[in-house]
Amino acid sequence: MFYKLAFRNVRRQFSSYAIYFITVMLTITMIFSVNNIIQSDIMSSMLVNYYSGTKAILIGITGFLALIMAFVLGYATNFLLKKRKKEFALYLVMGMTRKNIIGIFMLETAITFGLALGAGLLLGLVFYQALMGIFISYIELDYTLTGYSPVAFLYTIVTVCAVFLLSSAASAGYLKFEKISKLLNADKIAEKSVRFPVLWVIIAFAGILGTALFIDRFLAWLDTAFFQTFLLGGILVVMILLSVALGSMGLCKGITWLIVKAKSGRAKGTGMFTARQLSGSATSNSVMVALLSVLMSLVIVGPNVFFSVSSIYTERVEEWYIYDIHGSISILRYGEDVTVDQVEKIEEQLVAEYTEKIEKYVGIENYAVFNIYWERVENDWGGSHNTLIKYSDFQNICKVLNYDLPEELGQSFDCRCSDSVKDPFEWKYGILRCPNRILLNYEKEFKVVPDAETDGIVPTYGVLAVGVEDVKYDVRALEAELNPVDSYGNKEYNFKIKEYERLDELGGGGLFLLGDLYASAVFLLLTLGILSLKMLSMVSEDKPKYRIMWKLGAKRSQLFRSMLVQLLFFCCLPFLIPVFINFPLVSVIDKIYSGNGYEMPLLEIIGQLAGFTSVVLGVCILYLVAASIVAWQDIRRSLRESD
Amino acid sequence: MGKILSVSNAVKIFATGSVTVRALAGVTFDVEKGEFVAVMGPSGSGKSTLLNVIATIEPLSGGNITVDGESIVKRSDDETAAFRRDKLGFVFQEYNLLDTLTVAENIVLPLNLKKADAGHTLSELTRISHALGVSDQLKKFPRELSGGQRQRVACARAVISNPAIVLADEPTGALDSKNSRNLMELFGLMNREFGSTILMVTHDATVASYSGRVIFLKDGEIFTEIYKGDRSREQFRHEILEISEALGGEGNVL
Repeated sequence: MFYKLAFRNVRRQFSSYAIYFITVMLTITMIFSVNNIIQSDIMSSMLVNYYSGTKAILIGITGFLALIMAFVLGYATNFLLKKRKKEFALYLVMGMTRKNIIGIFMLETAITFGLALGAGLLLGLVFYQALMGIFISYIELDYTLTGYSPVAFLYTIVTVCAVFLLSSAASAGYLKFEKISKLLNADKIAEKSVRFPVLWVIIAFAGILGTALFIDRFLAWLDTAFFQTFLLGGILVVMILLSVALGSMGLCKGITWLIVKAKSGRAKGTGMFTARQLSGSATSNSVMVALLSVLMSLVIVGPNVFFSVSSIYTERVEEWYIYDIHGSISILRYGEDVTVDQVEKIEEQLVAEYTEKIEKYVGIENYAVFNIYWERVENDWGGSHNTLIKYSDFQNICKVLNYDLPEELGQSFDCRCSDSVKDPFEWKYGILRCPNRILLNYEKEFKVVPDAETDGIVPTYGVLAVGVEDVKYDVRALEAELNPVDSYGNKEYNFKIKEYERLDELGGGGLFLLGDLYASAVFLLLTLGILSLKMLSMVSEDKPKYRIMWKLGAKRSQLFRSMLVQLLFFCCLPFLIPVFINFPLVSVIDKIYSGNGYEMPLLEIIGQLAGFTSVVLGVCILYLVAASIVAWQDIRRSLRESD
Repeated sequence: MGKILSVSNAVKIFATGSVTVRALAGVTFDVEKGEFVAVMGPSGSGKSTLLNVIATIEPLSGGNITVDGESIVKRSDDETAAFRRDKLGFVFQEYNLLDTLTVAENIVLPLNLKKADAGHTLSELTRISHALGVSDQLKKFPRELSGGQRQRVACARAVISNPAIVLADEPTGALDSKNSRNLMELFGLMNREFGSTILMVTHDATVASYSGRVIFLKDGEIFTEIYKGDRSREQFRHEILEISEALGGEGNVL
């Protein structure tokens, strides 16, 4: 009999269970996808190549997701419980035991949870491929369908079932011990009015000001103390989030009180009703709104900052690796005694060997081989040396880099590499400043000397610098060929390939960006899921009020507007301060760029922020529209019952 | 005095699947402006249905009803809302006050819905709240009031917009006898002082005896109607009781 009752209840309470079902299904989809990503072959190979800590971070994200899921499930179950307290109390009054009622409720939620688990896993199969598709195209690999991991499947089921059992245990505890009278009168518990409203108005403004102030301090910290103390940065971030939370609570309790005050005595139509409803719902949910505001701040800030950092790293490859391909081809070893002639011969052989290897993958446009000579500084007992390079070698380097070397310089001059010089070569302080550490990235100062001056000197090391055609090629295979693994299993890193380093940066940054976007998406969905549940629950509780208003002569259109304003305001509350954070965030991102030597036009930064915020608000509007439609159907049904 | 309410051959049929119930089977009566009319009858006689069709909460299946000279049948949704707002005042058994609004905000709600200006709203609030003895409670919320006080507030809300007719559905149903008497005296006051036309559904003879006319319903039809005339309230109550007993009604509760 109880099985029948439970199945019938799920069918009858479809709209309530639909929200629960969708929320749980989406969360499971997310967890299943990220578990598959962690266990995927491509991720395993990337983790070996790039950054081994990433896997731990991704696993951490999954653990965090499980916690969030526990929260969502707990909330969703509580939503269902709240809606049905009276019904359960009636069952009790009619003579059912608490054990029966717990059984019915558990069975109902288990049925819905089981369906959501199945649907979530199915959706996860598709969502995982989509995520991997985006990620693979981001790191510029050819996209193929990736396999699924049984471990991910198992891990997802174990995690979500454990979380479900935990939240079920909490609900069972509640049903076991709550008094029947409290269950019966659940809908008669009056909302408390705001205490100390003026104080909350002050707190709202203090929260907003505090957010701005601590972001300002954070900017100062980025400028001055970033490398000195991370603790201060951490404290400032906590203070910003705390201000966001307090500001949001203040908005809920103080600003809605101000709205009521402003409407009082002057309200027309359903204005007063709407204002009071807003005040009531915002006040009784202020803590929840504060927590969601913090999550939304992370959603707005996280992707923007990571996107900026990621694009900076990608840009940096251009500066760090100035040749398309370069590598040390010196065969000199410490203390080895070789002649200049021997070195030259070996170099010739090696250059032929390496250029042949490169040309298997991509055409060579030009190349230069240059030797670096170290000349001991006279009377310097510390072992300092001058770096020398032949004039002819320097000419070849310039050719590879497409730099025009001014002929009027002659064949002998001092040169200093400087990152701050963007145009090739400029005279300053009696030396030639040239960009991008023109020799290798650790050579800052050197002397260009006539070729004859190096005659008879054994070079300290030689370098092969190659310019290749601007086409797509299998850079990963070339990298493996140029830097083979030795007999001990250690990879040689003699050659640097700019394209490979770019992909490497994309891969490393991409992992973090993916993780961050993923976490943000989860936070956003979680926030909107909770908000939707809350909004529907509020409307459900307020149905009698809408009925009274309708009986007193309020038009349906007025009631719809009132409901929409309430839902819109309630839905926007957790977004108000996070959206406001966009303004100081322009400065933060500008500092991130300028601190790394990049000039990002302000309009582009604003565009980036507006883009992310629009996506967030777009998803929010979708949820709001869906919740409004469901809520209005609920109210209309209730009005029809009065018809 | 002119006719304020005219019910002619009102029929209401409820259909649930294959089962149809004729709740009103052709009810016809008029209510004059300033009249205080009670509707009585045993359970299932159609008295609440009658009130609901007059209030446009339920649509009529047949016949016609006019309020203040205008037919309320076959109107659009917005027109019926405007009709309820402009022509009707309600007093419900369960008060139906909005617990999120203060007493003052509850009382002025009909004026707000009419978009009356703030000055008029405030003066009417002062006048009505004083007359009905709730002026000390204006800043409180309904949950802070007793049942009797809540019903007074509901009465104030019902008359503040000076409606054509006040409809009361078992207004004393949730009150004890003392508060019920007080409420009926208040209805008398509303009728005399504000000239309110009142149509009240009740199953209590004593409550009905405060009215000037009682319409008895049985099986969805008017069984009989009696007028108080010059008789005392007690005499009127006796006659009501006699008819109620003949109808098999619950009789006297108050």
